[in-house]
Amino acid sequence: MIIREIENSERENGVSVLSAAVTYETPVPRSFRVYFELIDAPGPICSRADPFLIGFLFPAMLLGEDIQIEGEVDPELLATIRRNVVPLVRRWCPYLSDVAIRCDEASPSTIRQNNGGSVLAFSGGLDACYTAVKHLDKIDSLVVSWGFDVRSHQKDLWERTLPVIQSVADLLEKPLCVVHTNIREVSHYQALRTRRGKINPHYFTLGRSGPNGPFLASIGRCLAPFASRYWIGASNTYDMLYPFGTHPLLDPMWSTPEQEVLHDGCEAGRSEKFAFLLEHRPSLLGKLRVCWLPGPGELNCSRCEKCLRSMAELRLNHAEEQATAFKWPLDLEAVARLKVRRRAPRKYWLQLREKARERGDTELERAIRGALGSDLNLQRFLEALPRKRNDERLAREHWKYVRRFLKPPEGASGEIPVGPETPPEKTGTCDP
Amino acid sequence: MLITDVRKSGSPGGAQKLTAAVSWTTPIPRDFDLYFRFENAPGEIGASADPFLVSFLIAAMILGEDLEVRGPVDPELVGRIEKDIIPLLRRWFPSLHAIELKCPDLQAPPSRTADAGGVTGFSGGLDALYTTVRHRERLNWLLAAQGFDIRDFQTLEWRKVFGDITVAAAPFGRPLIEASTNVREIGHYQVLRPFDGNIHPDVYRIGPNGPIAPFMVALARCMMPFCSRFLISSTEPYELLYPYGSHPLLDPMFSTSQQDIQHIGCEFGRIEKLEYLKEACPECLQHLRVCWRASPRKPNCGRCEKCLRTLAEARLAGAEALIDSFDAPIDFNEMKLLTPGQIQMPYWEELATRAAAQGDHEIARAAEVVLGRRLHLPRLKRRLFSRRRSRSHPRFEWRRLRRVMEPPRENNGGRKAS
Repeated sequence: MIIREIENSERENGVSVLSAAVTYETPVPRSFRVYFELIDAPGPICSRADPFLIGFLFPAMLLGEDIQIEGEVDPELLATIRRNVVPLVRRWCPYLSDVAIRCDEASPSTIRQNNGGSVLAFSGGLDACYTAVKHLDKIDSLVVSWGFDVRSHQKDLWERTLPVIQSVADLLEKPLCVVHTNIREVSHYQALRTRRGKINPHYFTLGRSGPNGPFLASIGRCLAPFASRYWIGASNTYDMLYPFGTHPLLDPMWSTPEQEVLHDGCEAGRSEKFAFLLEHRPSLLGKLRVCWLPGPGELNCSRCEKCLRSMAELRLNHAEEQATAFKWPLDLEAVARLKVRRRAPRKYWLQLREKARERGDTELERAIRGALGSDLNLQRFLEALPRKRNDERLAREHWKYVRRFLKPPEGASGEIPVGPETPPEKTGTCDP
Repeated sequence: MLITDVRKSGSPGGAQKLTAAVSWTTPIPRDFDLYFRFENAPGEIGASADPFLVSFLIAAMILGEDLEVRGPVDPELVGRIEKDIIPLLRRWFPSLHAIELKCPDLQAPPSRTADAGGVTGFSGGLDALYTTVRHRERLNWLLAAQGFDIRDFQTLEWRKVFGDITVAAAPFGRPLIEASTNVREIGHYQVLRPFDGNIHPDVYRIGPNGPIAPFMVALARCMMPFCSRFLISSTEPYELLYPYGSHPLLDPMFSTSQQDIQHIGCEFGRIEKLEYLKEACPECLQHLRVCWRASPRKPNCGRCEKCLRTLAEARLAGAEALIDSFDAPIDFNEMKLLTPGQIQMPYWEELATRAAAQGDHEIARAAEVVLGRRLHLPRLKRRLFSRRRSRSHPRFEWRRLRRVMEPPRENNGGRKAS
């Protein structure tokens, strides 16, 4: 894997761009242009190759390709990756290869001193809001990424989402800057393309939609000139940790003397986080965004598994009135119809069932029992009967899910030619 | 729980001792004298109550008593315990109680400008050897402590073991600090006594021999004036981590701006550590000490589960010939009769996999028998006709614990004389 032609430019409209050409060699040589556009930032964007090294480390390990960087890399980052990150990830996923990293320049004298700012990776979701409220006095600004949960080609969805995130940032009285990137497209979905039909199953242990931690850390490195602290909100609690792209052991390993990466919030589960927000900033509950695929004109669809789970948590916290971002009342039949098979959400639902039982919410408890398949249900039993073994079925469904993403969207070619062309023009704005 | 009367005695150059009185009321009032003793510390030990706060935190959480420390305590440490450590422990072990720390005398330690020095706990075992070899440049002293694997009243055993550790530490050229403490006796076994017949369910998960890392951190806090970096050797590699008294998430939480606590070595399993040592420092493997029982002639008995497992691992790593500290050679018939506990099972899994991959059928077969995947008639016979239960059986664990909880007749278990 070659990362070259690293360019740092400033556009007239206040957009800073860091881009590079990335070439995969396995199984056939393919090139892409990867970019980070920084919009409305309080400082300049990083000019080194650090974000690309972080973002493409896991794909290179997946493909078994050495990384060659024709650009400058922070020697501290290089050392921590070799010493800490690679051994940790290889213990978690033994099928990932040990890769060599070759870079042209690595001089500590080139490290710029930042102004000691503190930035939080912000999506407007529960984890980010919890960390923002908890460390409100320590956080200077918020950064939201376009290209992760909202993919870089989903312009309509982004234009609907951004004003909501901006309004949450306004409630928190923190400036919001936007990073538009295609790193997830290229480093996750394009890396998987090379093994069509034979995806390395271990890659998904680091995240179904790609290893989020390195993607977030790569954005953090883009902000290194003005952010000495970069916060990532935790998704899982200490008792529910498993090898995953964002983890309290992995995320701080991206730290260097120039920038500290912090993983925050493992001490509180989702219910506790809702209770915390209800106590300290109830107004945020009206703007909370948890859904990945909301319909037109809505913030959360209130129908998907994640929405229903969040609504159940809010119901147990008696926060229905404040949580106007959801359509109430909670559809208990829809909860009972859910089929929660995946490990991570199943654990959340199990905890919710216990909480519902403790608080005497028998209706919700019964619905959750249905979702978990705890009660005998003849219809479900008959549905499950002719199918193959559970893990095979899950693998097949998973593959369908991934294949959907691997198909390039209509009107997009997928590959971005390497050459003098600049990254796409700015298409999003920070103004609501 | 009350910690009071914190005193320091002795002076640099000779033995130094930090003592305190600890008392608790659940379920009946009890009080003990605690000590941390350093025979040959390279500088003056600290006089703060931090070591007692750290070592009795989990005990207070088990008993559900607020922890009051009447002595100087580092406010930064208190902040980290309240903000990070208690939430983490309560997430891992929900039956631990949320407690309040009452530390009226908050005193920040004097700040220092230069790096004071690095220390690691050194038992002569595989993990400690790996840490010492890998981080030799960052270490100024090695610490051998009585009161952990060798209990504080086992004086004769300790003299022999300390001799073994001294020999094992010789290749590194770093001075060995000798320390002793009764913190495990009091902070673990005596705390469990109230639960007689009804052991606290989380005790085994925190660590059957007590929360080792907080006890080690307590020793490190004693050495604060001359130790700015303390390395704790990991036992488990990353993929086998589970909530436990020593963990790469928990240990660094005890760090403050004056002292950095690091958990070292999760990147390698035991076989990889042996392979690394074989390449980097083959001479240090000669005196490897892994056994908790020891024999009169050698540091390792060569017959217990840990010895046999280590011998097999050394054979797979190609380091068998370098080790000269086992009283008996590897015995596969003995190995096939082993019944390891749940904690040891992943090591046997790894052993079986590696042996199969390397084509060492003797080890692979023995490991599969131990894992219960292959029939072995003598083992079956023993299991059917012996009254002995599996080591992982709760009844066995309870018997073992009750045995160690009973202090020997000549020792009063640290209890204050009435």
